[in-house]
Amino acid sequence: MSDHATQHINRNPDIVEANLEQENSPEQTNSALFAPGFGATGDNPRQRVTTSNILSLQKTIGNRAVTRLLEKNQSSYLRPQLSHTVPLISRAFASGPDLFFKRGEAGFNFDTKPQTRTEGDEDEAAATEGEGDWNAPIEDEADTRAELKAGQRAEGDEDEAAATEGEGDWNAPIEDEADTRAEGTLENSGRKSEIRRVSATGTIQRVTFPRYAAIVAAMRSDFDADWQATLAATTKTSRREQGFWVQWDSSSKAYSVTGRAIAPTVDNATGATINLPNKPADAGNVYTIASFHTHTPTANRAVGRPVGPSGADISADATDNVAGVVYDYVEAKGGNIPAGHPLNSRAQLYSSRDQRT
Amino acid sequence: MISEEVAVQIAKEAIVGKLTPQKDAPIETALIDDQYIVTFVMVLPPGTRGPDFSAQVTIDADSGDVLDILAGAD
Repeated sequence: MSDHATQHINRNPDIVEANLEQENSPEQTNSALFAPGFGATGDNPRQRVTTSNILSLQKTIGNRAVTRLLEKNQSSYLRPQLSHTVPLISRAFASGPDLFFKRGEAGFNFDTKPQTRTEGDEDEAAATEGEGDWNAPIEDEADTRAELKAGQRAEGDEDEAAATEGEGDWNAPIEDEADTRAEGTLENSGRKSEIRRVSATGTIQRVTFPRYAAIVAAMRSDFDADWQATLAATTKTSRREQGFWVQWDSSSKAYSVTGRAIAPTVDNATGATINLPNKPADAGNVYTIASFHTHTPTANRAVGRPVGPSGADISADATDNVAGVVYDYVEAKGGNIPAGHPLNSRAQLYSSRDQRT
Repeated sequence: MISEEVAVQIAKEAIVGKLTPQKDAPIETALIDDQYIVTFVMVLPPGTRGPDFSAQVTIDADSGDVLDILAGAD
């Protein structure tokens, strides 16, 4: 049969050229030559074997017949001469968390330690067609750990959180989210392959932030100090608010004050406002969980006012996603305190928002 | 019964020297139980904590008498 090849090549350099092109043209890897008589007609005893005429043969003489022909004629002349020495045939594929291997495939060692793989490795992998890149690292998804903020809590947590009102749910369960890691063994005999999916444990740590009551219990002295400072700063003609952010360490459960702010001093006819500095970003286990600010006395004002958080206070805390604590007087009547309300009248803490979510 | 416009004018006069409304801020009126409630809204930048209004004046809708003046919660 090799003579046929030689003859053919010598007689028909165009075809040789075409074949050479095939060598460099992966798109044409399904093109080859047929030996004489193999489905050939007319003057040209050989004709290019393509997928289409194989299909045609299959239609006319049947699949089995074509298969038998190809099996009986192992010469490359009778078989499609593929430009690639090894066809791109999948030896394994993945579906979801599972890996499937072609029966008889061997050589994959799941115990292989992951190696660092860079982008450039893709080309390298392509260059080793037919040689599965069995040493490619398995993404270690099982080690992924997500720390969910309270806002990402699963439904149903509300009840649990409600049951611990005033107390941060420090002992919130750590949920196992079964990340899966494919593990298994393959025998090198080429006769058996086995895939086992073994569940590895990943964890999602859920953080539940302290509620208003817990924050007040922990920070009362700081709040009182600021209220007293607010009273002390009040003059016959002016007053001002002050406040800060409350942070909380989910690991140590410790509270701290940050971002202290003294609002601009205003006269008694002007509404007092406060802009806390930008809410500090969470850092590690430390979260900014609450805002705090004081309201101002009416001792020297000509009019009274409502007590407790304003709509703007509530809105700001919602926007900042923090609990809100406001220090103000206890109401005198109808939710208000009158003009000239004594400076040292009873005061209390109000919640403008219960909890960071 | 006084008109809404008259009620607003009465409210403006009532707060002079007591409260300073925010410049160009809207003024809202409501008539509830024969009383006008005129609110001088306070517009705050996002994130600012402060009162919702500079002044809120309650006026008898029949007589035009000023019944109450409140500052916002601050």
